[in-house]
Amino acid sequence: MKRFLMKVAPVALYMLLATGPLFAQNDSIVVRDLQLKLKPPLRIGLTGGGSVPTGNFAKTDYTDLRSGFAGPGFNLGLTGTYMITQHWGIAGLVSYSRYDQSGLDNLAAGYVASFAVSDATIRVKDDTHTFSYLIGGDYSLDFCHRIAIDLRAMTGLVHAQLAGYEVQLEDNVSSTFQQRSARANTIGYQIGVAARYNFNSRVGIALNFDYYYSDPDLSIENVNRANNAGRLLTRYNEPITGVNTDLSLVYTFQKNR
Amino acid sequence: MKSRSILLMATGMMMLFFMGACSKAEKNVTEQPDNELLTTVELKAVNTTDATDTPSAKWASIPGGSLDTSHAILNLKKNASYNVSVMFLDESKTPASDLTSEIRARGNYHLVCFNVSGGLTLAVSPTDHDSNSPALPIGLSDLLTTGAASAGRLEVILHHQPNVKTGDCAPGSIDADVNFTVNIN
Repeated sequence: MKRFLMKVAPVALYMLLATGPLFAQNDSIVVRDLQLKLKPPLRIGLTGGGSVPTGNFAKTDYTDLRSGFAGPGFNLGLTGTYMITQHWGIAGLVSYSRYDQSGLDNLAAGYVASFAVSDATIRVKDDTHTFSYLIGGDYSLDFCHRIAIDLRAMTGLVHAQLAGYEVQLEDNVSSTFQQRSARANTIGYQIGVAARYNFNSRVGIALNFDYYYSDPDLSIENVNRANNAGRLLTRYNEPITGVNTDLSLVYTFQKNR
Repeated sequence: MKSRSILLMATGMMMLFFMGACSKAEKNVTEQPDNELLTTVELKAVNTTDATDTPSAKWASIPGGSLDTSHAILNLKKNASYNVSVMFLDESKTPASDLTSEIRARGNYHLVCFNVSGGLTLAVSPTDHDSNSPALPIGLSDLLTTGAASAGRLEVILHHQPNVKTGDCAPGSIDADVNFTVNIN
């Protein structure tokens, strides 16, 4: 027995010493992967930029009741992206978009013609805007350490408001009538792409292009419409669509490696 | 340093964009380029019981010309009823333009009113109505009911009542106001 141990021990010792570093390396890799899974990067972005409405929402044709008279505006939002894997993550967005009123000349001229008056004055009441609360998926691709491309698709709740306006015909105050602003909630979606540049492991900037869609059913109240003449909108059920072009300041929370 | 500059530039651009978007005008006034002239008012009557009895009268004031009231006389039979059409024309151009159909199409904010004076025994009631809800009279088509023999004046006023038409003559502005002499014999 003693002779056997004397022969085997050096071999066992050699095997242990020879494979020791290997085991140690494997342990290290396993631990690191585990850390990645437990603490994935979380990106928060402050986003702002232009909103350009499209489709009927942006039309300014007085005779077309689908016209939304929405002009280019701005949007401001807060995004959060939680990376589940190296490429895939869950994205959330809370944003506010406000639109200018365009085509007021057309609107006023339309009422001038409809009521055969010499002039009409339009005063916009409230504004056209949306609040979006969206969640969805994010696919992220890194290039050269500093540059990344993010593809996002999100859906969720959209609260929309269509601006109202007051129309005064000539200088007769008693002829003044109103189309009240209208509000509705609906489901919307947004898809987009962003090019992100990381200044360091935490701070970056991104240029985003997003297409958005929602289709609220807005009931519109009209006040003092004494006569059945001129453009009269009692309901607006046209999609709110457009493109956002934004800049984002991005902050990444992640464990130092 | 370079990163900070880019960040500052981006923030500045975003702020400028928001400021620009917030400062849009909310008021707009548009004026109508031209109005058609309303130079002539005609009354064409048809006796409801005698189709051959068709008196008419015409009041005209052409710009650049003189006021012609020589035909502004309507002769009606006593104790009779007449269906009357009130017509508005623009005779400042050739051929003359009949504005009556246009006024009828805009009947929801136009109203023809009548005032009888001088002891005239005449009642006027409109027979046409607009598409307001409830429907209101327009007054381009009327029923004239005469009483005993008399003479006096019939004032015809075209009211323009954009979004203030209620059936009353008072609101709005006046597009035409003319007087006819009426003889009932």
